[in-house]
Amino acid sequence: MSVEAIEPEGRERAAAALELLRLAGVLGDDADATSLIQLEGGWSRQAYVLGARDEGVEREFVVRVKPPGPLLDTDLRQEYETTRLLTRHGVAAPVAHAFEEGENPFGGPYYVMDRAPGSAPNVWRARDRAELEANWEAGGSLAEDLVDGLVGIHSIPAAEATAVLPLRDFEAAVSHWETVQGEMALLRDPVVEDAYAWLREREPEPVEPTLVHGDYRIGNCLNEHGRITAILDWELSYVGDPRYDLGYISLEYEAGSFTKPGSKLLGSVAEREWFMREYERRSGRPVDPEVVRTYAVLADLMLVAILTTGIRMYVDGKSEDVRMAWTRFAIPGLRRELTALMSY
Amino acid sequence: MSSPEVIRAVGEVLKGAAAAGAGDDYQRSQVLSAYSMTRHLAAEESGRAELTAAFGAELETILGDRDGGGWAAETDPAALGERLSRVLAELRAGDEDSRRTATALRAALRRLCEREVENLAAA
Repeated sequence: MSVEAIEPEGRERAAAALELLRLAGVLGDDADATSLIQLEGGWSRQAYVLGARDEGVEREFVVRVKPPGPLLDTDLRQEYETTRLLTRHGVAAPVAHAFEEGENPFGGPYYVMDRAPGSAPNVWRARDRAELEANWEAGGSLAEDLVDGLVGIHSIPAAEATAVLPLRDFEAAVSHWETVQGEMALLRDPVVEDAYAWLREREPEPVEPTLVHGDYRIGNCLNEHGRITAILDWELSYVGDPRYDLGYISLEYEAGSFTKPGSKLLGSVAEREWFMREYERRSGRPVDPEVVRTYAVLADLMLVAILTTGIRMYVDGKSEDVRMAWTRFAIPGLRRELTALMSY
Repeated sequence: MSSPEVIRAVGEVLKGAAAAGAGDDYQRSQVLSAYSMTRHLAAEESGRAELTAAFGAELETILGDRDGGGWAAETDPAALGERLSRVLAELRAGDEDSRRTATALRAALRRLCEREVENLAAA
């Protein structure tokens, strides 16, 4: 194995990832690392693209690292195991090869997976929204894949998923985010507190739990030539009511609304009625708009709790990433959406 | 110079620094985020006084002497958030009259939220 092509500061990391892949039987003894590039972004995870050459074949992998003091202190091994579960079920998730949690040059636990082709759109960018809307106008290939992806995720039964992920019913999900909010908030917010009370009066009739993505949106999907190639970012997944994902994706925020309106399409991808109707038809699961509304409020509150956590980390000096402080300006839009959802 | 004008001036320096391309991708994204913050903060500050006065007046009308009154004079966001959260929880658990007051308070909060976002949209 050789890492000579890598910049000196990245060689230890490249060598570690290469060795992990060799031990997993993915690469041979003579494989070389050709590049290691850290990707921009990532609030709770860092990601690197590792280029490798093995018996003359060029390959690319993604190294996903949990850095010290991430925004979300979620379990990386759980995420790795979830990804492997999804692959076994034929869901379009990246193929994960190996996990390392011992001391290593990345500075935190990491796993290595194949790099799936394509890129993820940013619905808060007008140009990306326009491209997504154009895809819908042209037949909606991304919408088709987005529905199928969600149906596929929700087809994974709780019995299998609970071997990897925690089971969280409605009350547990509400309590979880309410606790986070209570611990992290710099001040009390009457709209947010009222929303938690509103939720507790609207507990839906339970349905059979399934795997829930928890952050299902087009921005967490890679796409290429109008098709979704991989569904990413499983750090918020759990086993629970699948209708949570429908509530989350139906938020205006997830269609690019910030201080100005986003797309009129659900998630910037599909007409709302079409998406819900197709999900219902393909999954065989009825969609009650009132239940979706309930879960949209919970999803909104989850986002507020996560953003509040980022603000708290910045204020307490646990992060120097100014984006954590910047998220303060995302909360008014989410709060306004809460008032609309609750028919204030 | 007003506070919003000062904030905008700081933002222009940050915008210039980002455009100059100093530092790596992470540093440039940090500078751009800081620039974005100045734009939003300036927009927020521009509308703050009017928004606070209008909301305070609405609270005076809706809540009167409840929780000690003095709603229009309450400008500290933490204290106001604390009091409104407490009052709304009481109203939620109260009688029909309380529920009517809660409805009016929620409508005032909705208008506040909408105007907050409208102000930020000017950034």
